[in-house]
Amino acid sequence: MYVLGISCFYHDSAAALLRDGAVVFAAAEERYTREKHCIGFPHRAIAAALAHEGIPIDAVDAVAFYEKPVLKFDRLLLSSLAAFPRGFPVFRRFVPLWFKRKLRTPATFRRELGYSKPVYYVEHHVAHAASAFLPSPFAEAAIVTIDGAGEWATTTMGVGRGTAIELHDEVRFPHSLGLLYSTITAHLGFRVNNGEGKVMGLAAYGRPTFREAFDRLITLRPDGSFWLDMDYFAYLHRPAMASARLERLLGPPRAPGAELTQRHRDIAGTLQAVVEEALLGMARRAHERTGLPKLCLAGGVALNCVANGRIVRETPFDEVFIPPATGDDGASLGCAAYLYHTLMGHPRAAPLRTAALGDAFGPDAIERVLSSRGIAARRCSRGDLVRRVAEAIAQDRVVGWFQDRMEFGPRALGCRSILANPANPQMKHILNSRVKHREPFRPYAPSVLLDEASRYFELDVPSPFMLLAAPVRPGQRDALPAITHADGSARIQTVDRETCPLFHDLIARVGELTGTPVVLNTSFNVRGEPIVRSPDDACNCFATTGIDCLAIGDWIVEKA
Amino acid sequence: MAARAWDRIKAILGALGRAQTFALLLLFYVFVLGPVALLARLAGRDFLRLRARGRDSFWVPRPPDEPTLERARHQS
Repeated sequence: MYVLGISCFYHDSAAALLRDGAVVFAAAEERYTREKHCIGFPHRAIAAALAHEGIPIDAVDAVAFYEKPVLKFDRLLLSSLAAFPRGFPVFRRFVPLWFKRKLRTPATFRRELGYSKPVYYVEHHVAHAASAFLPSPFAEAAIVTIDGAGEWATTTMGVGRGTAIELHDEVRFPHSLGLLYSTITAHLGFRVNNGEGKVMGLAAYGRPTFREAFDRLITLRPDGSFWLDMDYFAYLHRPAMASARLERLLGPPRAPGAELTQRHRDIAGTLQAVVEEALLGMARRAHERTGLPKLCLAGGVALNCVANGRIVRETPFDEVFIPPATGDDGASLGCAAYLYHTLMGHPRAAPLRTAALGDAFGPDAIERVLSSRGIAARRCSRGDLVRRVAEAIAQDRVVGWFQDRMEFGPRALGCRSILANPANPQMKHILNSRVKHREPFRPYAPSVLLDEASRYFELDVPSPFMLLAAPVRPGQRDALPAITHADGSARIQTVDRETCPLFHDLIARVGELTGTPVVLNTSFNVRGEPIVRSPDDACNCFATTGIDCLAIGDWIVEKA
Repeated sequence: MAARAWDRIKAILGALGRAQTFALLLLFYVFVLGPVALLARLAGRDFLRLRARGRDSFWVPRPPDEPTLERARHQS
């Protein structure tokens, strides 16, 4: 039985296809349109999912959608009532949009997909909760979901048992940690729904000196619940995040691209401290309320790997599962899984151990692209490929690594990655100036063999999806300068042989050559673009950046 | 030439359509939503918990849910 899950029309549109409950394909639409955080209907991701299974749309037995549009419309209308008379600028934007598109999803599915079987609607935070719990290895677990906003909920807490999910508490719109983070992101001159990770990186350079000001914006309770003073926020009244009052409180907003000052860093540092405090409070409350030793986390705010790392280290939970796509992209998988397992009553499938759920390209497809572009490439055995790439990394060369199926979620996890030597103190500068062109304050992340992780990092649990940050051991920081952030932490991916055999062998080989089984792993893209999907995308990125060497399938391409 | 004229007509009709939409929405906002909003305010309704700062906790209990396939067919 095939179930298709769809998320779209807000940000990070995606599709996920389940066959008898197992996730056989999942991908974000942005990888196809090449537009980051694409909001449109995920035509191409759906087409790729169907092509992967070799089935027409008629073979799909049910479609799940990641929210209940009428409930969300109800929230928008009541928000307009509450914001009257200042809310007209928001009202006049959302009403035509919703009548034209968002309230007509059945017609949209029929028109866009030619699909006429039932469509099922799953509440947004239930879809998030399902995306974390149902693919997890836990029979039962506490669940916390945190994002910008669903229908009404912005944060939920509950429990998963078997195939059942019960969310018992929520914090409701407009009180939202995700929207608070986005508001400060905009205030600091970064793009909403895009720059939040940058603010998290910037926070390591700041101190929480704005705590008194933030205590006016947000009232936090020890149980992790919170309330926002809407006088400081504009999003009820107009299509903007911060009000003039917030600008008076925190100082003038930074223009995009303007110089970052210590004030900006301290605002980011304070925001991060507040969010960590809230998430720790929620996790402790979830533990008290459920008494369960396992926790599942999802929602866009669960991408905050620094807070996640603290939850793992500082709360009573024994194990924490965070899916590779925690944001709205992952909700496509969540709503499909909820429909199949919870609503239809089918038993759960094997736990999700890999994020490699997207497109794959065989040797013929890769060879066709290389020869059509006249690229001279050397075909190698797998052993030879690993040896040559490891030698390149050990010699401080920057490698484009295109292997296996594309990852689902925002992290490159050894399938569409740029790899480099983390021991070279200049490597961050080399990558920034020649390849990624990123802001200098943003850190690069390490991938480390699972068995060796605790030798280099203060981390004793797996982090296969690069969603936990932990301190680099003080004695190792000098050995790993390119991935050690300003505060001595790193966002870690642990790699095990069972799920990522080729990438594991590569890191092991690098370890043999350098003495350190760690590679710098950053996404295979340039700033402002989605991660590469296809061999063509990879060749374009390779050709237009300072990447020295491209390992694409069985081929190695080297720049002269 | 004809194509250019048609493009101009379409642009003018588009602008008229947008102006009409704006006017209708404004009328609805002022004369339908407005009175309801004022009545709700007079009745002390706080849909968004904007006056809830003093509470000990901001968690809101969710009503017990019995999810079914039939209910999932609905958008609400």
